[in-house]
Parts: sequence; C-alpha cells; structure tokens
Amino acid sequence: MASDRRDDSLLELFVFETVQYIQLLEKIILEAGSDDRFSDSAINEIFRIMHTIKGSSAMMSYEHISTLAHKTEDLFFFIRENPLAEYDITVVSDFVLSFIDFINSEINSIRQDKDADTERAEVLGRAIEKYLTEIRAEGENDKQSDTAKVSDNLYKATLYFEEDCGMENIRAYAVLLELAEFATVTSYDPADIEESDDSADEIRENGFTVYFESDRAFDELKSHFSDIPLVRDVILSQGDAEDTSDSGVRTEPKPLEITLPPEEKLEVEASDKSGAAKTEVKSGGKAEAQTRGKASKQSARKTDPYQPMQSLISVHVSKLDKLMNLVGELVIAESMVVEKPGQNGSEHNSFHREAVQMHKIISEMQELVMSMRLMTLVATFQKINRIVRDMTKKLGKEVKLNFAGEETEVDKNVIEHISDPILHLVRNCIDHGIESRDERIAAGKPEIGTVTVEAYSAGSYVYITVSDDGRGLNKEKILEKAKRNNLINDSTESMTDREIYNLIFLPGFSTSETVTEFSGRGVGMDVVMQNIGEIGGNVSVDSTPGRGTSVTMKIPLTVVIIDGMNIAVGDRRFTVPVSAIKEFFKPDMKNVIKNTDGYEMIMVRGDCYAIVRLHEIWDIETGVTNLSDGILVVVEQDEKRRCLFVDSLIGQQQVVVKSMPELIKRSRLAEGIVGCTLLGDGSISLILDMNWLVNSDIR
Amino acid sequence: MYTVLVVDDAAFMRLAIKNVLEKHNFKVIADAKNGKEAVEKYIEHKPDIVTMDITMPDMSGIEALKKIMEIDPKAKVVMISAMGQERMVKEAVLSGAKNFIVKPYKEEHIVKTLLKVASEK
Repeated sequence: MASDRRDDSLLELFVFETVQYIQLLEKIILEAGSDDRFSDSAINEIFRIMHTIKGSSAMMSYEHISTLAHKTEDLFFFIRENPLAEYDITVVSDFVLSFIDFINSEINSIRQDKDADTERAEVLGRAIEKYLTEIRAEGENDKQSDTAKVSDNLYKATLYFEEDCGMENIRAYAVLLELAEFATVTSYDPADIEESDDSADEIRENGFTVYFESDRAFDELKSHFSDIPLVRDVILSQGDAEDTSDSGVRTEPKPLEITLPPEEKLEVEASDKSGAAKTEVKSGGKAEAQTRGKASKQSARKTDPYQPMQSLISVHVSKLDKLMNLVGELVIAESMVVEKPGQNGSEHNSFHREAVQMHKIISEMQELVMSMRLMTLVATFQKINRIVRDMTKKLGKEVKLNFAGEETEVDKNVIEHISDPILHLVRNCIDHGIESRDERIAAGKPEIGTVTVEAYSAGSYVYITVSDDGRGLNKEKILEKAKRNNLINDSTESMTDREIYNLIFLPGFSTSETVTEFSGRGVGMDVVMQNIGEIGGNVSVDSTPGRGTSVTMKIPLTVVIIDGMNIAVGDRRFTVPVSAIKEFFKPDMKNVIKNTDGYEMIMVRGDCYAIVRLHEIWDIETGVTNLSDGILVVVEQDEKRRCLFVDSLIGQQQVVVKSMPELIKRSRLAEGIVGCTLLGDGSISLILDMNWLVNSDIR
Repeated sequence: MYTVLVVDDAAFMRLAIKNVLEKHNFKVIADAKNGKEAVEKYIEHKPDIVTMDITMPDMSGIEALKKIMEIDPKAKVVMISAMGQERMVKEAVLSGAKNFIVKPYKEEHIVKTLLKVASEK
C-alpha cells in the first residue's frame, strides 16, 4: 500500500483531482435537478467518478473514503445495469450530495492533518446500502455444474494466489481460459467462479482446484502454472480418472507436491510479513504457449460523452504568483533604467525608441500574466445553486435564482476572498430576506421569491450584487439592535438611511430573532466586510422596506499591481492609489478654516474637507509645514473625501504591492499602511490605506 | 529494461504507478489519459507492456485493449482494475489482456506481474 511512502506531491495531486471530481459530480446532480431519472450519461459519469475516487483514495490509504465511494458506486452500478429499476432520484441525489459534503470535509481534515471522520462515512454508507437493498430486485441464482468426462492423463492442480491480489475468482477464470488451449478441463472447485464473486473468498482460503486432462508432461505443466503472475503456490498431482459429479473428498493416488523454488517462496513470505516491498522475482523457465482467448463475445459499453478539455494544463498557483512577482520586479527595473538614461551613456538617439519598445513588451507581458490568473465566477456561482437547493428544501420557501455575468473574470486571489461572502449573502437573502409563502401572498407579491446574483466589471473594479425581492431591512430594528449592542451612541437623527443600513456590517451584529441552521450566528456581515476589505474592496447595502435588499461588493480586479501616485513627505515616500485621487492643488490660504475642535478644513467649490497632515501622523521631519508650501491631494473612499497634505508629488507609476514584513505589520506603526513597493530609484515607498485615512479619527 | 505505457484517466494513478515501476527498473516511456490516447501512444511507442485502467472517459480501457490487440496481437496489456469490476476484468481477459492488478495493489504485486508478463515470449 501507499501509506508509508506517500509523498507530498502525490497527496497534492490526490486532493486536486478529487476536488475537481467532486465539483463535476455536484454539477451533474444539480443539472439532473427536476428530472425523475438520471440520464444514461449522467449515471455513467457518476459511476466513473465514484470509481476513480475509490481507486485513488484506497491508494492513499483513506479506506473510509474508498469504502463509501465503493458503496455509492454499487448503487449506481445497480441503476445502470437495471434500466427498469425504480428509484427515487431525490433520495439518490441526496446520497450523492452528502457524499460530496463528506469528501469536502475530509479533504479539509486532510489538509489540516486532522483525523478521519470514519463514523460519518459508516453512517452514510449504511444508509446507501440499505437503500440499495430496498430497490434491488430479486435476482435468481442458477448454478451450473459441468458434466464430467472421464479420460486418461488426468491431472489435479491446486493454485494459491498471493495474498490481497484481489479478484481471485477472475484469476481462476483466466487460468481456465489459458488451460483450455492445451487441456480439457473436466471440473473445478469452487464451481461458481463465474457467477459469484463470493467464490473469491473461498479461493483465498482453500485455493483453486482444477481437474483436467492434458497430453503435456508433468514438468511442463508445473512450470506453466508457476509462471502465472501472482500465483504463490501450486500443488500439482497426476492421477486416474475421477468421478467429478461433486466436490466431495477425493482420493489422490499419486500425490506429488510441487511448489515454487524455496528461496523465492521465502522471499515472498518475508516481504508479506514485513510489508517491505523489495522483492526480486525470477523469470526463469516459462510456459510454452501463452495463448489468449478468442475474440470477445460482448460488444463494449457505450462510450462516455464527457470530453475532457485537452487544450488546458494545470499550473501550480505558486508558480503564477512567482511569475507575477517577477513581472512586477521587471516593471520596476524598467522604470529604474528609463528614469536615468544619462548614467549609462545611453543618451543617444535610439534610446528613447528602444525604451518605448521595451515598455510595450513589458506592458503586454504584464497583461498576459494577469490574465492567466483570471478565473470566471462560474464555479463560485455553481456553489450558490447548491445552497439554494438545500435551503429552500429545509425552510420550505420557494426561491428562484437568477444569475447574470457569471463569465466575468476575476483574479484568483480575489475569488478566494469573495466566495464565502457571496454565499453568506445569498444565505441571508433566503433566510432573512425572502418571506414565507403566506406572507408574500398577503403582501401581494409573487409567491416565489427571487434572488439575483449579478457580476460585472467597470474600470479596474468588479461589482457583484446580491439582491432579493424580500421584506427589506428594518431600520428601527437595526437602530434598536445597534444601541443594545453599544455600537452607536444616542444621536441617530442625523443618520441617513444608508448609514443606518451600513450598521449591519459592524462586528457582532445580527438582527434575526431566531438563529437558523443557515445564517444568523452573529458571525455575519462583518465577516463579509472584513473579507472584502482585505482585498481592497468595499461593501454597501441598499434596501427598500417591503421591496427587497441589495448588497453590492466593489472589488479591485487585481490586487497585485496598482496604478500609484508617488508623493514625498520629508525624506519619506508614499504611494496613493490613483483610483482614489480626485484632484490635487496648491491651497489658497483664504479657503482654509479651523472648526471649533481645532480641525483644519478647506473649502473647495463649496464643499468642506478635513485636512490630514501626513507628516504629523507619522512624525516626519520636513521643512514643509505651511499649507501654502505643499500640495493638497483630495482622496475619496466609500463616498467620503479628505485632503492629504504632502510636500510634493513625485509622479505616477505602476507599482507592485508587496505585503509588509510580519513584524512591522503587527506594530501600531503599520496602521494606515497596506503595503510597500519599490520605486524606480530603488527606494521604498509605503502604500497608504485609503480606508483608514478617510475613516479614522486623525487630525 | 522493459518499456511501459501507463494508461489511466487519473493523473494521480499515473504518477503512483510510474513511481513504483521506475523504482523497479521499468522505463515508463509514455502515458495516456484515455483509451483513444492509449491506442495512439501504443502505435507511436510500441512499449513492451501496457498498464490499462478500465474505467476511463473517451474510450474505455476494454475498448482500447481490443483496438490494441487488433493492431498488435502480440501486445502485452495488463489491466488495472478496482474491486467490484469482475465482469469487466473477465471481458478484458477474454479480449486478450495478459493479466490484471486489483486496486489497491501491493507494490510487489504489480512488479511481479509485469515482470512475468514482460518476460513471456
């Protein structure tokens, strides 16, 4: 078995493939949806997937997975072989979906090195077996026994196969088939090797005995048998004709025991005991005629309609990450070279043209690398189907699911961060948003609720909206709850509807009175906010009482390379994402005012923005402290604006976002910084966190 | 050194079999992930021996076996089967498969079987 030598790459491949099979499986089941039977191709495909999972999990010594897959496979084998059998597709689908859930959780356990949940496998396995027994029609067992023929030159051979070699009855069958080429088989024991697979156990214990008549010499026959692969032991005896009507006790007139050469036998035994696998096998004298059976009787099974995509290869994400990083470095190196042409004497005429050429190639390369990391949202949306199916069934609500823009492409990193939030939002919609059937009829709405999941990209952002036509958010309830949990103070009159709705994103907020299985465990919208925030996006909610709620996530297309404006404060360099900058200007001191708390504000075309002095926040020594000496940069995030006061602008550049070293990340100094980057001149620039700058209480 | 063509739709199994064989001085000269590819690769490489999975998309192992036997009646094909596929293994044996291995297999079983089958005339 593989357990003692399973290496990481094998395990990784196992996990990767199994996850793919599981996804395919889920797709097939959900596509079968409302049909009352599985299509032939679906059955074949499910059967094949179960079969493969069974094989590979057994190789990895995950016996419980293998056994369960085997039982599920049995079920589908029965369904396939008995096209007329009655079965309930929802019951069978549920089995498969439970199987999928089970595999998913086992794969998680494997990844985290946790123990296997064999109990769950057994429970599910028993349920499947029970169902199979129920639908299995009564089969008839006819056994035939061959009539005997009496002749001279009669031999008796008893073969023992290697331990655990499997399918001993079929091996015996293959032996008979070969033997038929040069001998007449009179009888064999057990006789039911073709009909019953239980005969394999019998052979394992007592060996397979065959009586036959042949013109060949004893030695020749002996070597023929010993050369059959995986035959551990042969006892061959030559005798007179015998009555073969039954497999009773026989007399053996001239017993002659022949076994394999002793040293080989010893070796086999040794390796059996120790489990070590180093076994040399001699391939000495061989049987003369290795003949094979006649052409096959049955035509082959139908071919599978499933065509794997041949033009795709899988690449490890870490390689793509590395490539992305390298291209990032290349972009920086490029600007280093281009920015100081004088230094290396390349100031001649062609330099500019060559630099443009290089820039073109590098930009193209960068685009290509980014596109390689893009994935569509199809797989993510697929998961929603499953959740909706489970929930509507349990909660007794009817919900129609609409998708739009599932072909929208997003960076892989981003997908990982948005899957859970989207699922959570959909769960919320169905659980809290959509009313019960009666409630909907009373409100004059269509009986069936609608949940819409929509994705589209605009500029360098992807927008994903999850909306429902349910009861909408309850403002009073939100305010009351927020107060109860001390999330806000008492002055709520000035709050806009939008601000009130956004309270649900605060940690520890959950308005549902009853906690259900699917949502409302108090770990809710704040987690959504946090996940989306981590990748530089934000979430907003809009709701109309009685008409529904819609939550929109705005996510940057990629998080690795951004367009940045580099600015200087003292001898420090900072980078502001260009997407956040609204304008910059030299302030006119006439427009600068101070409010009663001493905050500096500036009036710009009738709007008043707070001024944030970067040199004060990070205690940077600089000669520029007068507003009129520096530059103000107006930034916007979440519809809030502030003015950053900086010494000067350096210039715009594409920068590669690198995360801060762990040590610095943990210190308070890292507040307000999302990452760092290298500038063209080789110096380090800190990338400012717009969210923090517009929201935190800084003066 | 015997040359081997490994046929299995699961990359995992291909790697697992390859690992075992190469440890024991076989040379895996090619692999294939379905029956169709198996036939093509067989013609291209003429391996001494083929290990053939049974259940595969796009032409099963049995069909591939039959095609290969048609092209080369001397071909040495060893089926790789999982438990519970007795009927198909039987069909394979009838169609000319030299022998078969049952998953999960012992390393020594696959090595012994292939050595014996390969050394046959």
